Amino acid sequence: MRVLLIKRLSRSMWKTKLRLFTVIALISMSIWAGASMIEHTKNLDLIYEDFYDETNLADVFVDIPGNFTDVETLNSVCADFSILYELNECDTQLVVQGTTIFDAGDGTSFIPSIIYGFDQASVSKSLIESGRYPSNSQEITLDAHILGPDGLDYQINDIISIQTGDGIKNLTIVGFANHPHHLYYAPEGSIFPTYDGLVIAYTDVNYLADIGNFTQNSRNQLLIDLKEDIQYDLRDTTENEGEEMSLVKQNLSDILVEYGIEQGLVNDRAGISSVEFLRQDLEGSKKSTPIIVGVLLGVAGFVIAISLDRLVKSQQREIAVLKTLGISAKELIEAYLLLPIVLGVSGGGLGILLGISPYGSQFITEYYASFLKIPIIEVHHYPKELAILFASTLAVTFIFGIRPAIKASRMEPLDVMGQDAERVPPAIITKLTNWMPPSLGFGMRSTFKRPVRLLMTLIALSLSMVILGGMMILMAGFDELFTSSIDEVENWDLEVTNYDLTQIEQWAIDNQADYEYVLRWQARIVDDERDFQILGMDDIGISGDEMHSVSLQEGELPKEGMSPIQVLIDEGMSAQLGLEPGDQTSIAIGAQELEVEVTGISREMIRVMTLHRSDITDYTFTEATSIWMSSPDGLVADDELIEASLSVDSLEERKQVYDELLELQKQNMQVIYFIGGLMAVAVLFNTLLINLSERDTELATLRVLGASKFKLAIILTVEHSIIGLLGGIAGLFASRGMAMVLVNEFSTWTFHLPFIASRGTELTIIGIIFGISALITPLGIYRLHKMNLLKVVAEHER
Amino acid sequence: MDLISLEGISRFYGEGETLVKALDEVDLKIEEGEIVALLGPSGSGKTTLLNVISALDVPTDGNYQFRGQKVPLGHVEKMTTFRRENVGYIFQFFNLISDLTAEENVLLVQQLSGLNDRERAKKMLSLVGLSGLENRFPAQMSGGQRQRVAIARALAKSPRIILGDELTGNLDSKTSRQVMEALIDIVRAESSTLIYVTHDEKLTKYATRVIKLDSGKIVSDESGELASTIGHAKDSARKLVKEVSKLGGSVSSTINRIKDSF
Repeated sequence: MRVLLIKRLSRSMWKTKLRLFTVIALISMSIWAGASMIEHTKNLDLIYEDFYDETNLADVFVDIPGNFTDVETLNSVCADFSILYELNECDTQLVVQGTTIFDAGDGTSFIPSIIYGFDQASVSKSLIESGRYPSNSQEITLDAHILGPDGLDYQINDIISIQTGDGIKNLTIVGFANHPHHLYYAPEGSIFPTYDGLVIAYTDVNYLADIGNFTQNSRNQLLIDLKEDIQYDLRDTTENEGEEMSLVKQNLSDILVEYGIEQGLVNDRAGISSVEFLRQDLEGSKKSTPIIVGVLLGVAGFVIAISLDRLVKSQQREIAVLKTLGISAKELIEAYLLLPIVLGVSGGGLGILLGISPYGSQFITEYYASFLKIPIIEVHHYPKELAILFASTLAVTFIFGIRPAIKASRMEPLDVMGQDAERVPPAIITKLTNWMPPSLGFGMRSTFKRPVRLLMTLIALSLSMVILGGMMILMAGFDELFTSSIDEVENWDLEVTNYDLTQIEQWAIDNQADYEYVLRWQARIVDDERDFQILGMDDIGISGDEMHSVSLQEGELPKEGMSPIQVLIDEGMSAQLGLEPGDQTSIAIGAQELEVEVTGISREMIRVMTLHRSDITDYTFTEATSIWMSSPDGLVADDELIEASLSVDSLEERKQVYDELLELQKQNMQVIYFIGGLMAVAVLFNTLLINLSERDTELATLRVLGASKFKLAIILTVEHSIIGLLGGIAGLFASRGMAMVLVNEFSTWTFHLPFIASRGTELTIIGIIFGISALITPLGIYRLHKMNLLKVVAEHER
Repeated sequence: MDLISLEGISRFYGEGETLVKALDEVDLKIEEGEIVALLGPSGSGKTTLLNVISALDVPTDGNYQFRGQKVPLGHVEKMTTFRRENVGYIFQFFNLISDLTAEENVLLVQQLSGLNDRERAKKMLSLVGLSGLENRFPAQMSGGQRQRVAIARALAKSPRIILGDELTGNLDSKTSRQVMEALIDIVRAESSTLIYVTHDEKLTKYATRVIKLDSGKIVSDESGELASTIGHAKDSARKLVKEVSKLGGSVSSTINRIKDSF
């Protein structure tokens, strides 16, 4: 009996091959994506760990911004520190900013540059990818990230022109290397990687002193490799995991003060933006992967539930007959539960195979690595995690198969075969549709007659869009963030940096340019490890005429000379620190602490505290770090300005780089878009196909009664439009929900993405579901065209 | 002119050993106003013949003319148009649209033909005895009532021909009788042509013509009970008129005299 029952069920399923394969394909896609993401995350973890081990990434380091000390002093600091803590290595560096003069053939551009002068090269060392390290001061090794068509396309033995503070030097490129502080290759303070907008170069400290006109013993970085592994505070969590590390840093800070290096900033690995960004990105992946996999499985589960529900409904008369003949509820449940398990095994198995194929985790990791230009790629497979995923798939398919199975087992023959099996549309819907022509009214009534079915359809439609819609909203928010924090607010042409700004100011006066002093400094909230940038300006306003207009989201602009100092904080700081306008807090600038009052919240790409420059110079011991310049006709740097500066940042070039990077970021999202899009189409297709097939008899009857295809197309279009509109609205809510979850999961201290709803994107999401629903109409008409009316009507008659 | 003219109509399914001759060179002519019962055992080809007449099915061979015009068989949309313009169809299981009320079901068929005559819809429902039930949904009606709606629906657009396939097959005998009577009344009132398939000999009494099929062939084609009843009635009337004319005088005074004579 059981075998016969299963045989019957299998044959029934085979009759709906298209839907059967859609469901299996959907499960496979979910598991394929899930397995790939899980393995990718684990592989990435290993890749970073290997790279940092090999390059001996510093545990603690000291940065002396805008100033230098000598190697002897730093060695003494190290010696004193080694009394307190056992050290593996202690190393010093000279790191200077510069500008690369790059001739791309269509004009000269000035690219911000950082040049590392290694001393022992024992801590945070770079790894040669090709070529060698310089053997004299006329040679240089560049970071390997600039290789390739999206980079600067330099080759070994090419000559590069770099301005390092002592005029422009022409150096021979002798190699390319990767550095642990720049594995994520983005300019300081930026979250976008750029391969043609930043030059990082490596050389010996003495060669750098030569070309930069520094004294041979000049140093501004101390790198320490601790013998013991000490956990540092993770900046994206609320608890402090690095209490011991805080003590380590405090002790080192105290030693620095003893040696008169008050401005020395002590940091752990979280203070290296590349390391922290990649860690937080990985953490984001680790957190979001289970959510995305859960959603994928949920979608697959719902589709199985809807499909099986439809199957049970279409077989209700047969089930009634079987029950009349004496089949037990247990046997029916067993048969109907076997089906989701078979679907789960076949779909899950296929998904896992695809996940471990070259088109699975390997593809994602290689794609990701190629996007970020990560040098070491080793892909492993993780049987335990895959087994858990497979078991979860079976559990989900089984759970979602329970309801239809129980429904089948509980069917009462008399109810099914009796006339009472038909339902009457709700009175309110009947009243509301009374005015409509019957050919349209019955579509409406049919849609709303079974609220549970409608609800399931809407849930499936909305779930279908969570990944695609969620990512679309997220990316639109990213676009909006970029526009409102760069495009609409920055009005300078050049930002020029140097320790002494006198010559630069003179250049601005000579060139009749408007200019403003800018003070960029590093600070952090007292008792909090997270760094942020202080942006000191003279003219803080929102009119759009300022060099940097504030994109004020809440509160008021700060007033100059107030006590405590009035400041603006950006949205990310506000969200992460829980600070609101009116709140006061203590911030630390080096070893000094001061009280500030938050007056408003601004929108910025990075964590920024904006204040009046004059309010902070007493604490930074520096009047300004750069000058913004602008002119109605636009300004272009000339050799004189380049010679007088450490770096020249052009807004036009920055915007261009950001535009390219935004495009690149969107391309990077293509994999998720593809998965989300495929899921959306598959679920929409399956759900709407089920809806359509439920109407077979009615439509065939209308056809027998003489309804033309055109008339039926109108009926179907109206009906699908209603479902599409409702589904679109439901999909929008689900997408917004998903986007909020992703924003919460992805947002970290370094990379805070506010939830910005874009009307255009929201309408697009509704439009996608509406559009696919409308597109199902031709499919419905095609089915009617292919439908054997005699057979459908005869089957109904039977 | 014949309403329906079938010449050498065959409909085969399968091929070789599995070849089934559902209709085998059937010749048939039906005039307007006839009420035809297609009778035969299961598998005799009566439903296939009905499907060919309604242009739902395409014969394998033969010529089908409707009012002297060739029926566009083989072209799906033209076949649909033919049905829309000429055919009213009554199913065994009613096939009413469950989300429409009785009246809306009737109106729907009108609208498919580009009509919207609510008065006629009401009249049709009234003729089948469903006055006052126009706003009920199919689920709120009995089987007999549903089939009456189906009848009203079939006649709502004044088709030239009404086709019914085992139209009382799902009803008990009492309801069957009521439904058939309602159908015949409305068909006669509308002067329509009716062809219905049945395997129940009792139902042939409503027909003016009874065609028996077996193994895809017409095995007999006779006048039905209704035809003889109508014939008897006509004879009686003729006799009565003859008697009356013999009596002379005006008809009313003559009738009064006849009455008085009883």
